[in-house]
Amino acid sequence: MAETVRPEKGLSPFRKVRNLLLGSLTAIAFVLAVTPLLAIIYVAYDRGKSALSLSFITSLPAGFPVGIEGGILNGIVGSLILVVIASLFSVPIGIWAGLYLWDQSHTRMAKTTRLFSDLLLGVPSVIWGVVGFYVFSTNTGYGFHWGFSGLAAGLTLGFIMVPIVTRVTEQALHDVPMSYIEGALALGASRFQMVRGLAIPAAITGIGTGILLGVLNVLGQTAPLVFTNYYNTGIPHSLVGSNGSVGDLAMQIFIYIHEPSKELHVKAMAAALVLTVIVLLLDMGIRLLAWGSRKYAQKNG
Amino acid sequence: MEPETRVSRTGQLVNEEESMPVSSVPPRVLFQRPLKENPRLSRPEEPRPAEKSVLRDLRMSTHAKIQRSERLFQSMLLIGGTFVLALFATVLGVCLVEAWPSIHRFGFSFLWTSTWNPHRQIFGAWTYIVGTFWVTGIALGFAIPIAILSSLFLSDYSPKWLVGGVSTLMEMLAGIPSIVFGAFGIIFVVPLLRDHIEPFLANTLGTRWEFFNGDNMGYGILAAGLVVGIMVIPLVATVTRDSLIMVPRETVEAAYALGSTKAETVFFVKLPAVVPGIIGSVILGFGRAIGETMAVLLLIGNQASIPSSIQDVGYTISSLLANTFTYAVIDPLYSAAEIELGLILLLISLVVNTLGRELLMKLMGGRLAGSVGGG
Amino acid sequence: MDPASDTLVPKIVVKNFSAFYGSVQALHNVDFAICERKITAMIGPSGCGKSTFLRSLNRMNDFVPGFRVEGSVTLDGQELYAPSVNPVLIRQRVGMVFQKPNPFQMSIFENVAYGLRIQGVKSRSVLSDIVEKSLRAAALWDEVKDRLNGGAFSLSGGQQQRLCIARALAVEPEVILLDEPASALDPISTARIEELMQDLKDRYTIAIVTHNMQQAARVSDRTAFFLDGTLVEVNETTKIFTNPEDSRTEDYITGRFG
Repeated sequence: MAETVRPEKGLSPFRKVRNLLLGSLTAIAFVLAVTPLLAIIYVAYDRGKSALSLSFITSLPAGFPVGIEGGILNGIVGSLILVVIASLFSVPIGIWAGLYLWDQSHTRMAKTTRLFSDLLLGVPSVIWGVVGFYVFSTNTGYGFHWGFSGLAAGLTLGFIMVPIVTRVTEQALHDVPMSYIEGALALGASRFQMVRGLAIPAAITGIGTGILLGVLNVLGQTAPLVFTNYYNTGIPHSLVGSNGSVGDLAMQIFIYIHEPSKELHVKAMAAALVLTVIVLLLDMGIRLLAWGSRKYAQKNG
Repeated sequence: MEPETRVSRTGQLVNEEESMPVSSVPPRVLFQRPLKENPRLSRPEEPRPAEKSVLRDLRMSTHAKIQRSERLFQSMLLIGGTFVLALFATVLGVCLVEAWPSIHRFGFSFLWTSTWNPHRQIFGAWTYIVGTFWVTGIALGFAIPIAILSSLFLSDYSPKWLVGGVSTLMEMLAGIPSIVFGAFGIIFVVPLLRDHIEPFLANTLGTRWEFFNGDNMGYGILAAGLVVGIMVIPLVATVTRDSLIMVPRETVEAAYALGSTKAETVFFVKLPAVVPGIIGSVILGFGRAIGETMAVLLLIGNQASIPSSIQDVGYTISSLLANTFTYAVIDPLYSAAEIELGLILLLISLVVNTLGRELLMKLMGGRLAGSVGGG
Repeated sequence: MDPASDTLVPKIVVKNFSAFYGSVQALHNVDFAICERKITAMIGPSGCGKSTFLRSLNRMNDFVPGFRVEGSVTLDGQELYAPSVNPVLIRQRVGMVFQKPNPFQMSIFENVAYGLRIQGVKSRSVLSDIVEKSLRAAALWDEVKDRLNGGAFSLSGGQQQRLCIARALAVEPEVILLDEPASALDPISTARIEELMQDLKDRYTIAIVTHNMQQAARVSDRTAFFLDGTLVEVNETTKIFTNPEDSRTEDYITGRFG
């Protein structure tokens, strides 16, 4: 082809302006996206800092209305209790189900199970609350009749964690290289021996990450607790029955912020900061774990 | 290996395709030559290590054990899977059973009835459905453009050093519990709306359209929608960014090579290429927003009325349940109606989450996308 | 080579064997025998079914979804695909070494001992005895004897592959299947593996899949040529490489395709 008609060199003013405008639009959007998220932490710190002290996390709420003095020890202890119950329940079951989905990956039964496990991931937390209420808390009809209690709430949170742990366990097992698994099977290892001796150890960081992810997800859950536990200003002696409610950080923030009291709002923001810091630290832990295991995997081929 | 030795070893095993090797010869008996001494092998006295060994004996004795443990293992695993199915059955079963009185009493008209009167025992979902969609709509209307544009900023405009840190930060902030967002809404967003934004809206757009007018209270669907929007931004931005990363570099280079400006490349080539990913992220964002409970409960004003202005208060399904369920539970029909509302929410969430997940799974090759919604 | 070794005893006999991945047929009516204490090489272009065939010999394909077989494979007269047969036991008798070295994330010692441990060998002295013998047999002992407790990934690629061979030998299989064992290795490591195969041939039946025709010519006693899922020709290696009967074999060997 010989010389053809070329467009003029250089950009038309319209294209120049459009280039600039669209570019700055993305920058503005970016600022709009990040600012509120950072503002949350700043506002929590700014409005809550007057309540922050060591005794805030080591003392129980006091004064009237309750919480105007003292700290959030009940919430920290209660949240911890709930997370422990939830993990004790969901981790074995989640790993178990994840193993099943991985091991029998292609059977119709496993495919169905995977579908329902994924569906469970989409159940809104308020529905979990309703389910937990009827299964554990209510004192009429079927269910365990445990009342508003730590055990009821912990197991409800455990329900929420099950599909998360299942999913991540399956994923972690799928990430174990096939050559590794074949190596064991070719030596005459049974499926069980291979899973126990090789697949699970190789996937253990992934599974650990999944458990932490599940904990992260249930730690700030408030809605299910409204239905199964509500709140306790002290530390309970029992986890079942009418005196079995535990305190909870998220619930504590909810109750404090719901009151028309400036002092309680300050406490709520301080508690929110504590909860946020815990969550962010946990998140960072997960990332470090994932990063570490990636590094390790790279080093070892 | 000298080829001569090979030639000398023409076996009696004739191997034409049609004639199979003679297996009538009893195996092993034919083998008569003495084993060559191999200096590397430390037990030359054993001609067939596989025949006489610890392992051989063990194998026979453990055969049955292996069979048994293998079968046990398989069936034990199945129980684990069954548990997940049982959990899902519990969720759906409890909702259906407990909602049944209401489903039975009101039928489909429950959906479009807007009366909600516990004293007269008349219940209808319409007010709450509308409220739910208002909040979700405002949230997504606010979040989606910001999320998409900011993910474009991160993928193409921002300095490189910013990208990794900010993306991680975004993902981490997405994990902040929704109750913290709710508290932030009360402390910061509500006063901001009440004192600045809502009066401004009323004085400008509100003078022409009633839709923007109101009592400048701060609480209401706008506050709830904005805060839920803030919560949804990281989710949508993260998923969009993940699909932007997957646009082939060749596509982008082709656009530049044709003389496109940066904005033309990014907006007219890259963005259209990730539309399925964006749809998936929006669907997931929708699923997260629609089930949002505590932040909405704190901010929406909790009044059972259908909003006619963006400043109005309202009620969503989830905030109604969290707020009133413990009162409703003493009245069978009242609680059944609330749970039927919950069932509607559940079904919408399940459909939406499955859709979004499936779509993204196809795009991302099976990776878990997004996080669990709620709060 | 031993002059008395001209008797060929079939170890694994494959009759009218077909293999399918879902609806795709990967192998068409293969008739074949792998003979005792011989090295049998399988060559052919990529996708010709040679790896599928090899993996069918110890039922490693069982884990591939949708995989199924027709026909018969017998090991010492015992049908491999009979319903009563436990594939785990087959794999204890028919070991396999893979294309990419795949040591476990354990010490060198534990890698070799793994197959014994899963079979219930507990005695430390028996274990270390067999580990040493296996490592010697795999010509790795001298290189690793001072760091048996070191990680397997600290070894070079060639050493890792020999470790995998030692690991397979420790279980005392009767047959060893090698799936392109040297394709990921440098020439020196490859030479060591080939040398090792010659040593092992006196005690084991070996089948090797290889892309590398020179390798097949160097190491094997018998060679089978696969094309498009069918077994075109199997014969003495020298015969195949000097005077093949099928023109397709000749085309492949002379480099006209593949």
